[in-house]
Amino acid sequence: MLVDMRSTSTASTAVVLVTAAVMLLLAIQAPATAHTGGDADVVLTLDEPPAALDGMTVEVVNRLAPQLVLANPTDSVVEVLGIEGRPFLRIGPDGVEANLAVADWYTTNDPFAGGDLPDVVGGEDVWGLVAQDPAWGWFDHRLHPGPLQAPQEIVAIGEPADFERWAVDLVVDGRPATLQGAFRYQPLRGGFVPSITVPPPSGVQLAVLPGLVPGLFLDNATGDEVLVRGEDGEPFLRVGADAVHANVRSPAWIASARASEGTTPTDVVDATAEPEWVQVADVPRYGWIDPRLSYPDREPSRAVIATAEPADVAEWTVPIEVAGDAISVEGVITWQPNPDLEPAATDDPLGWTRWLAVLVVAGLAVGGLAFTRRGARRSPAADR
Amino acid sequence: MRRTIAPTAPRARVTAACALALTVGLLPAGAPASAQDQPDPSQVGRFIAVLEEPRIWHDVPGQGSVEGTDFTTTDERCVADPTDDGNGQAQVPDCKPASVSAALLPGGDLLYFNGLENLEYFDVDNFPEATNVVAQGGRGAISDQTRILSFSEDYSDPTWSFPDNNRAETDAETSSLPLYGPLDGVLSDGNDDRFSYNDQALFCADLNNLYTGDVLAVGGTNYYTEPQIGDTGYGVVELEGTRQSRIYDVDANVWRHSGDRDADMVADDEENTGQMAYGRWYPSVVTLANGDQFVASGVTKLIKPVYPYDYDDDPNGAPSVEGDNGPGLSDSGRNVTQTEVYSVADEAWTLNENPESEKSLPLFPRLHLLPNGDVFYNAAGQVYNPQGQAYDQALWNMASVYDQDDQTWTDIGIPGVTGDQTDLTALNPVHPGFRGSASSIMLPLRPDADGEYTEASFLAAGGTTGVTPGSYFAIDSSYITTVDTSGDTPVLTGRATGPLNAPRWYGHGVGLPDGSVLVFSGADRDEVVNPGTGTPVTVPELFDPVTETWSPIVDQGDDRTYHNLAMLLPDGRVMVGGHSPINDSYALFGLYPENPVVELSTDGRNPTIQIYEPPYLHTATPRPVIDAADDAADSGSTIRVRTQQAAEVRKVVLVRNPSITHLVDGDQRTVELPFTQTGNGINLDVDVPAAAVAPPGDYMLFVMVEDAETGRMVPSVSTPFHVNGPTE
Repeated sequence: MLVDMRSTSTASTAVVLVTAAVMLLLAIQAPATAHTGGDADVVLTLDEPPAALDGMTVEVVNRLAPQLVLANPTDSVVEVLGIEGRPFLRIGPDGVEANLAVADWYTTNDPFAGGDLPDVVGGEDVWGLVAQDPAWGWFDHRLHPGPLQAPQEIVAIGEPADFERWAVDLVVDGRPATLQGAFRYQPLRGGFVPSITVPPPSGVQLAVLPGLVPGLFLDNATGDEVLVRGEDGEPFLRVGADAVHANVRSPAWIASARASEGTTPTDVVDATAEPEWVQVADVPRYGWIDPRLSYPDREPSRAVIATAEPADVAEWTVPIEVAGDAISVEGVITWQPNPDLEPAATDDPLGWTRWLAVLVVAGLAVGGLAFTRRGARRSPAADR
Repeated sequence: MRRTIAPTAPRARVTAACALALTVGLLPAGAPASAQDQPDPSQVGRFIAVLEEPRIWHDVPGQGSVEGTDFTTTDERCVADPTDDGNGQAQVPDCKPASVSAALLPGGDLLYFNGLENLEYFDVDNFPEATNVVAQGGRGAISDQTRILSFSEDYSDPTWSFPDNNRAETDAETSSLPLYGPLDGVLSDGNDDRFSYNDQALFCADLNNLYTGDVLAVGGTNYYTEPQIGDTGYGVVELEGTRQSRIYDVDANVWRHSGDRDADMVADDEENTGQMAYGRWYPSVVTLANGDQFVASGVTKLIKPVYPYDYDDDPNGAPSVEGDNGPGLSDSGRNVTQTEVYSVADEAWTLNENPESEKSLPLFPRLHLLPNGDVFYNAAGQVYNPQGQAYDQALWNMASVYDQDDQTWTDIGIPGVTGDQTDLTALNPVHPGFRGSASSIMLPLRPDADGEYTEASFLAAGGTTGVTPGSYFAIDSSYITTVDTSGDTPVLTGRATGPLNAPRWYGHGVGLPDGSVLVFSGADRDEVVNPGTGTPVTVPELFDPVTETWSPIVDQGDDRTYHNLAMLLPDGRVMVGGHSPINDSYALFGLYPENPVVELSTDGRNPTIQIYEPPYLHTATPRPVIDAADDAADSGSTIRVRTQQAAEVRKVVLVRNPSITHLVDGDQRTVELPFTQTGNGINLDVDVPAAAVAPPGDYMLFVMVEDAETGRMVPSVSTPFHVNGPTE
């Protein structure tokens, strides 16, 4: 449930918080890819859905194993056909119905397709309501036909590449349609590390907080007030000599992960609105989630990756004011390539060495705090 | 004020109906072959015994779980249940429980309970019909067994007994998640009574000793499959943190639901305040200065922490978008941010309403009570929820304090950054920010020149660095954070100590009465990310608080990785137990073949308990003996301790009775007490500190003399001491 955060209509606390949570969750998920549960470097991609699914949301989501997720807020009815061509899911205005007589209904609720099937399977269709909302996610085994390894010749090249296709047939309002995509070799070739290049002035300490969505920690020893602005330039935080106040109408506040039911606006979230200040701390320091420090994509450009060297791939800026003087705290997001990603590691009999290497890089990418320091780093010219 | 002669060892407790035969090995696993090869115990200590329960019990979870009479006496750790155990899965194994969670009871007995009970069922070698813990864990897991272990004086005659309801199952509601709302019976509601044998597992509850002498277990696990389809077993395992808090009633020897103390209390609790507002899996609980219990964090759904609706108090009520209790969509993708307080006297939970009482924290956050009464979060905890990581985990890098009076969290800095005083010439590694899966041990609280306690320091060593997935590989960094509480706002400083001699994930710290710290067990990498692929670390290390360096001690032998446990015992020895790893790669034990190069931790639980003697028990100086002592007093009073070595006593300390799970003991503390020698030279008058320094509850009181040759403190056997609570 997404809402326009600049809407002038009244937004309930719940809706505002829902928006914040969902936006941030979306920010940390790759919407159309998922690992297969076999080779850690194999992901699933989803082609552009057919026109018959306009207005609907279709995703491949990894929860223990790849799932297809389909949300259908339209008046159309989507039937999902099983491996043998019988419909086993019906997603439409009346919610989600399942065909209890089709094996796929049972097997797609288990990532490993185990267990016995009830006697009703194989008989006449037996439809039953399984969800009131018109959305469902299922472990479709056409998306993970057992552990899947990328062909050695593709791994040896080291570049992302499709090596097999998948397809799931649908019937939309009585007409056939197909969801399809590819199995793709896509090694996690590094990670992103935000850091500070232009720090705040003396007396203001800033540190990057690593995480799925990075954050910032500000410690104000100046005795003057430090104003932090949000992404739209709106007043976001006032870090004073002995207290911190948040503009609870600021979109940055909603995205900060510090908002709660008591510190959300009673009216609207609007960067242009008159600030509504609420005290949130009685010390001159505060930390918050700041999506400005996140890189928007999974990987940087091919040119950057090809160098196999660390590279600054994006810049970020957080405007602040110290005692009324406007200053920009600036930083970069650095791509840190995985130095251990060697194709030969696939010979590991346990099959996990390469995965460990990927994880190590991911850890390094988020594990190092960036300290406030003088001197700008090189400009992010490499990401072209 | 009561007065008693101090026991010289944990007293043996034999419950007639429950006394079991002993199984004890007097040599440690992996012991050297000859005396000449024995390492010097005055340097590295020694393991003196291995305790293992001799019997496997075949009780029936979900059907009252009263101790049965059907058992198998065996050296094996699991045997097949000769009968259908009632959950529809005949011939699944019954096993000896491991000490995954444990509390030292006032009388010196050990209460412990299991974790991940029955996941041995998913063993590819012995039970090939199993397929996968993810697909079947919602059915196969069962509520965890409890044990009461009485050690006996020299550990040669231990006995095990049971609470009356061995698996802590009560008649309380457990689930707050009607997952799919009202349907027409095709799907269950996620709390299917057909599988009630695993709705109330104690696993993942945090536990604390109450000043009443009872033990409070907060949260727990409800295993189920999601979605659950009709009469089939289809669905993926989900672990729901329950709203339950349970009390182990020592006198009655029974687990009960909090709020069930008597009929009047039950009748008065119309709002069911005996359970929390939020279901919590892996929460942390801290005893406040008034003896009440503060809980933070935990997660309501581990695998998929997405909550489509807000729910009101009625766990079976219709979905609504309003409601104060239980998780809603705004709580999705993160751990429980709300905090709650439990009144021991009223046996009731109260949700903190101030918005600033909410805080994003890791699972099992490392929380401690500061000497000013605030709760301290040491920027550490446990990360990696399979598929359920928190989007706001960057906030976990900040150390914070919580004031219950104001219901306000305050960020005070980042360990390793804020106030860092590391000696850069010593080349000690510093990993600033969050530390995962390491103990956070409070070093002894010491009075200043004015007799005030205004500073607390915390030692964390090893673990992983950074939030999910963090470094994945264990680190060797060791760091002390210090919080100065003398001013209006606590001030954070810190310094790196000498590193561990080997990186260690999930090392279990034990604070000794002399101020040194031991760390046992663990592995070389995060065994929650990919279970079964780590190499166990079996050489414990000892931290010298003077040199601030770590030294390896004698090899413990047994592999103990995830869910290991260690604690100080009343006689100054240490028990080392636990070990209940997740199935290999979340699938089956035995998934990985024997590897000739590295030893992997691909095995099941270990029900044994090893007894370790620290070096301070092997000095030339005899241990002092407490002849008598007051055994209870109010905070701020003075007590009398009688010892023939009063003139030689250098320190008198209180050590809180441990209550531990998952490396977490929010109440762990050693308090050095001011004292004066009085009377005829055999008495000590000892000052009991304020309640925020030594909260109400049970302690071990040690006196210590100095070994002239080594300068090491030599502790007595402790005498039990009780700081009175507000209703005592």
